[in-house]
Amino acid sequence: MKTLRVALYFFREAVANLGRHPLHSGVGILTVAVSLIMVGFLGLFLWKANGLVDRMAGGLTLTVYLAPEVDRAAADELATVISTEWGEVESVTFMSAEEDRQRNLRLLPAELVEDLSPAMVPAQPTIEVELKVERLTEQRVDAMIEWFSSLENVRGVDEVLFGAEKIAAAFSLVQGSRKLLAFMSLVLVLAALFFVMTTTRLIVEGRRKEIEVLLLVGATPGFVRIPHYIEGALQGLASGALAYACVWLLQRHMLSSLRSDVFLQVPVDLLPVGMVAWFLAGGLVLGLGGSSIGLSRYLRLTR
Amino acid sequence: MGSMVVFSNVTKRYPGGITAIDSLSFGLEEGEFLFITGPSGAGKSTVLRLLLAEEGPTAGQIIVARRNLGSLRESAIPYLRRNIGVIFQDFRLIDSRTAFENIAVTLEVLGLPSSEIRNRVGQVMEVLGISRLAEHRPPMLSGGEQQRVAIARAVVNDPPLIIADEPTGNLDPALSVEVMNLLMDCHRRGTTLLVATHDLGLMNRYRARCLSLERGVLVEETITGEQSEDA
Repeated sequence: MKTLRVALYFFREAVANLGRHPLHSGVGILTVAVSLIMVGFLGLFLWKANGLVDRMAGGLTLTVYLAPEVDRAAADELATVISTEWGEVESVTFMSAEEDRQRNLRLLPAELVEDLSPAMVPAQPTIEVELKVERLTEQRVDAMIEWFSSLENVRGVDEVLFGAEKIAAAFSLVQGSRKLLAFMSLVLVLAALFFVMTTTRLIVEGRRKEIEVLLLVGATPGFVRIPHYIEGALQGLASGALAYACVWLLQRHMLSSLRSDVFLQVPVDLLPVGMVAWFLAGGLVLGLGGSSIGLSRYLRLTR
Repeated sequence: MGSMVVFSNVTKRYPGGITAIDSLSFGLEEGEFLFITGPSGAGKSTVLRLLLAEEGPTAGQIIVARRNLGSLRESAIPYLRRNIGVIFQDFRLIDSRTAFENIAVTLEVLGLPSSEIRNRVGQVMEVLGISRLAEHRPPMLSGGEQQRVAIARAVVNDPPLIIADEPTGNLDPALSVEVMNLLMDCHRRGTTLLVATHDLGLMNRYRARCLSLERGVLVEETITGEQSEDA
């Protein structure tokens, strides 16, 4: 009963403290919210960059040109080898020389095709492989290039086209951006922590007298600390909600500007609902961490 | 009746070689009233800080409410302080809390139910004549009113010992007498009272034992207010 009473007291006291120090509470909430917005934006970019690479990898297609004498049975055998040995394959389609010719004809401009004898259009039996790559890494790209190049040595294979250089270049570009963004995120997280720590120190300094009085009337350090932590957690949650609301509003404003000014229909959801949990968790961590910083030195019972 | 406070050859030295208290010995019986006086820097405030275990002595032994402070674990200090009501010259009230809340903190740390806290704080505010100030914050109160709130905070849990550091230092003579009379009321109800002051006029109005300190050394022990009404 006493434990419940004390717990209720701590919670009541934490809520009352928010009202007793509106300026401190406001500054604390804003500090954490601004930090979360900065880190949140970079985090989103980082996440989107990862998604872009994965989408690129997901859309990869490999074209294996076969020698004209290769028959359907040999082609099917090769398709099975590709499917089983490479593994991450969405679909394998065999095209006979005639089907390849028809496809090429469709790709050529109509005026050119008009006077062209179909026999003039090059055609070769082909295997089209659509790849399914869940996660692209440097090692995966190298392995992919090596394995697909080795296909050219297989009997019956004329040529393999899969744009390896393009993949490697795009990959290294995104990989570089990913590293840069990760570094910038780290710097921002550290800056945010410093920002929160400094503000918290100032806030705790402002409450020094209050803490001293509580200790003089016989409060234990825990009695002072717990409502302070709860207060920090509540501030952190409020900051998380505020940061999410700001980013959501900003995104909405940006997208509506793009749509009206550039007539661009952007089907992008920069801020999925699940992100609110990340913002709240981030706010909670920063709020709790911040409230514990600087408090200890005022909780010493003896000098 | 036993001893409430015992100082045995207590010395307190600060870094830099400053000796605030030098081999000080005195006792304070339960229910006794003691003045500690002396000029600024005599060591009065140091004695009070040692009593509250805010600092430890460099040498000697201190016993407060039957607890030897030398062997007291840090975690036990809050429980020692719950036996001591403290009053300061600068009141040390929490500006962000109302007068009622300032007094209530003493009972809140004891984990008492809200209803009991309301009753006891209400009673002590009535006795001290500050009921109408319950919702006022300290910056809205006069010096005398703030000191009454501070006294209420010190006595609301009926501590066996009250220590006051220049409790009338910021008050005019009439208010000083009023505040001292409130402390005397507590003393008459059996509370041990230790007041550090350099106001000789005020001391002579009350009959009490008086220790005079100079540069941390006990130079004289007298009885004040031999001619007073309290005599």
